[in-house]
Amino acid sequence: MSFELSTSQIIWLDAIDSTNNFAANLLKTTKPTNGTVILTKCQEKGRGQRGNVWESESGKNIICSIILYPGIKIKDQFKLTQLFSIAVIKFLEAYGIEGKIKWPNDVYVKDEKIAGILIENSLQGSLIKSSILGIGLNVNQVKFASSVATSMRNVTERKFDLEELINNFLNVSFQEFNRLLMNNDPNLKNTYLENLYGLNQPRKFMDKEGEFEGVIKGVDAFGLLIVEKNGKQVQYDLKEITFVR
Amino acid sequence: MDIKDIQNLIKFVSKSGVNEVSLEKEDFKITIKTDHSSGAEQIVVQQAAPVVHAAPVVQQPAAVAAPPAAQEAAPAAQPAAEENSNHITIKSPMIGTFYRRPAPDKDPFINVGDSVAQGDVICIIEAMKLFNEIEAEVSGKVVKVLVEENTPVEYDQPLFIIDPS
Repeated sequence: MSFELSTSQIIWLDAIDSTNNFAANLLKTTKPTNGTVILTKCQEKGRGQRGNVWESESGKNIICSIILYPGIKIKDQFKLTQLFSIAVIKFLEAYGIEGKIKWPNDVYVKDEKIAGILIENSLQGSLIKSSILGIGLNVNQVKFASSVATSMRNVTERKFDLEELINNFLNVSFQEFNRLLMNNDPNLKNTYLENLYGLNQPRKFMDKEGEFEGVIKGVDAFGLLIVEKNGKQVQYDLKEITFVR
Repeated sequence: MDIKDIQNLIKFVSKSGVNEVSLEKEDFKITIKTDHSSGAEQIVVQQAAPVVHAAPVVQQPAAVAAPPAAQEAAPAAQPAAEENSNHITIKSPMIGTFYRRPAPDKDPFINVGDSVAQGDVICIIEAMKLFNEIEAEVSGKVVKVLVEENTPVEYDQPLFIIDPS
């Protein structure tokens, strides 16, 4: 079984509360095929993490959710984050934009966020039964409520054909999904690290002991951030460390 | 094998006059030793080692309480669960952060006293911003919620107690 865009079902919605919600309902009520893509121009209640809102002007950005049956174990779930964020990086690269993955799963250009990923899984035994990979990627939107958001247009000062971009983005993504079929893919981890925001650069962080200067050295298999602090490598979970601007 | 079978087996072994009986099944091993001179039996019950990644792990509490005839010695029997032995504990299949609610402004998936059906989503566990819906593997009534909203959970940590009856 491989992940083929050409045989995927593509669902275009004029407007929807959230493509991830639509995908979740689809999974509950039907048996969508592997690689089903849900796209919309207008997402009315886009969601970020836990109650955060994802704002997107109608018809200007890529708003999309992809349903996968990834066939991987729960303990390997960070692979999903890695390959989907790598897909975004490669996609941007094709337009001359250098994106970086802000750990664990946002994509930044310089110090501004260009894309957000929201992955929601359903588990069964030790396996991931199904996975919804949601993304909001800013393309032609110019103004943002947030001061740390940007778009492809703002970065390049070019306007893009959204449909063409969506097609290209899905192509790159499906290529990356096929990495799931490989048992041990060293390129996955390495490519993620090569594109990690702040890797090997001294910067300020905050942990439970207070502010400190540290250096990101990597990410472990589970996704924990490895930071060098006072000459020692310390592993951090999400809530244990913050980036200080 | 349930408790009645074990009791019957013990009775059978006691009466038979043999000194030791071992019985091994796929996920279960029982050894009954009798000392006919003192009239005491030793019962060793072993459940299969926990499956490393079966999850959500639903385990019958190993309530292998020694039957009255063997009160003196049941060395390897696991301590009887303090809860009703019919209750089933749903455990966390992974390390992460536990959420009882689909979103902060929504009601919890399940509350004490609610009925759940197999396959119902009962909580979300997040790890590294991956959100995992955990489904009930049994149908029943929610007896206890063991973890607070938005707190870290360990692999195999009990989350809910369900009464399947």
